[in-house]
Amino acid sequence: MKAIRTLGPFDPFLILAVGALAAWAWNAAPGGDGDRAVVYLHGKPVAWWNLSDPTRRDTVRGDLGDLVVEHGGGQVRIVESPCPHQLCVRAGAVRALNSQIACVPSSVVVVIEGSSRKDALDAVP
Amino acid sequence: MRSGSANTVFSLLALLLASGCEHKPVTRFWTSMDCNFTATLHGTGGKVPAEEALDRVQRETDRLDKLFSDYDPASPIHVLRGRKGDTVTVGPEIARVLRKALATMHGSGDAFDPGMHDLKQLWGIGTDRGHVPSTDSVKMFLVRRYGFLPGPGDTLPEPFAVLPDDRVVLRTDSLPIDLGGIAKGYAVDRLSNLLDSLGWPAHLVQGGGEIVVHGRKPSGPWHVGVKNPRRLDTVVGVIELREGGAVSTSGDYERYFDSAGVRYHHIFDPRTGHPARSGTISVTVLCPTSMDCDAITKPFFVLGPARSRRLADSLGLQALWIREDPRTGMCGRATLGWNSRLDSRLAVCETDW
Repeated sequence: MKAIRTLGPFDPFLILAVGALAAWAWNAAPGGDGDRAVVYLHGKPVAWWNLSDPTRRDTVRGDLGDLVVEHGGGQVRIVESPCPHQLCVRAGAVRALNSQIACVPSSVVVVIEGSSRKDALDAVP
Repeated sequence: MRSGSANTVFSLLALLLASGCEHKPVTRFWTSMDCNFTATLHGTGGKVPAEEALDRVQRETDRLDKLFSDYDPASPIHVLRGRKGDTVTVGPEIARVLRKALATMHGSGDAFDPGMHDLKQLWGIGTDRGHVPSTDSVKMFLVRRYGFLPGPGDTLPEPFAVLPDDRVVLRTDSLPIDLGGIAKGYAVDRLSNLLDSLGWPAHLVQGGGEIVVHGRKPSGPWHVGVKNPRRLDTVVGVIELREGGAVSTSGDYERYFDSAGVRYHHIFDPRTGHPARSGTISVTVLCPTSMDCDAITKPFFVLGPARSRRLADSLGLQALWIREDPRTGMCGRATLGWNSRLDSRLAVCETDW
């Protein structure tokens, strides 16, 4: 009969060390860091900001002209846009992972990206 | 080091490598067809690299935008603005969407009409000139469109007929056709098929309120949120899909204006010429395809659960209707079977409306 092998005296420390390394690798992997707002123009990322930073306003150049984006404090919103219907301004602030604000005439989409927990929403129609 | 400890370290390192090597999905966000699009690719091993697949998908939306645009005079859809009795030729893609529009109109008891483009223009919904038009101007549109002022039980004449060879017979003079209620769903299905053919079977495609998930996501089931229609950055429930399907939501929060405390939104009741007043503020539907979903959400919104539940059951669709509720803020009613897929944080309405 085969004997059941027990853990050696150093194994718990090894398990803890490798576990800590795994946690570090998970967090350091692309997409595993904190939440951020990413600005896409024609499908290409052109700017991003950490949402944990203090609130600030920046300008983004879209097809129709400049949009003013307010970001920080965990959320992002478009406060000025040259588009005629102002739907993106009326959308207000977003903070949830994968939520978006689109300014279609300017071909600009602002997306909340960040830590990809396995139970995170893939999309919200 | 003892061999036992070496084995432990080796096993844990292998586990670490495996977890670190989990392939990160590739996502792209862009705008087209008057809405925002998203495509996310999971897994590896496509016939073309992920970025090239996304380039092709993005180019496809540009092609479909030109095909279905009702603002571009060069769009093939403009031949539909001819004279009553004309027979015009459209391509197979437009013919397919037109057939779906007619099927939805008939199947819903005329709670949907693709011939309402000019009515939406009259109200200016979703523009900076949204206003309540005069009663006479709405009546004039209805009489021009239908030949009479429709009542609750009247059958509405269809704006065109599609022949088997994809030619279209026009039944109203100079009537712009609005396929915005279906073409986006068709586009999302097209993009999903394209990604599948390019060797990326596990993917998500979203165009505005239309979502298709396809294949198995390596990290587990797909989770699609149901938007809270009164707090748009929150959800009232989460739908879990294991292998794929389409989800669509239509609500009174998408395009609207407020006047004298009343919200005027973009989903019209063809019989009244006014934004639908069934009490519904949002409807979410699960379907096999995005075009099915895109088409049916509008009549489901117009009719509310009491009048569309039977239609949903006959089509084998699952739906969730939400309305405002003075006691709980908002509440929902769903078809049978819905709850098996929904992590719902929403109060249940006591009755249909």
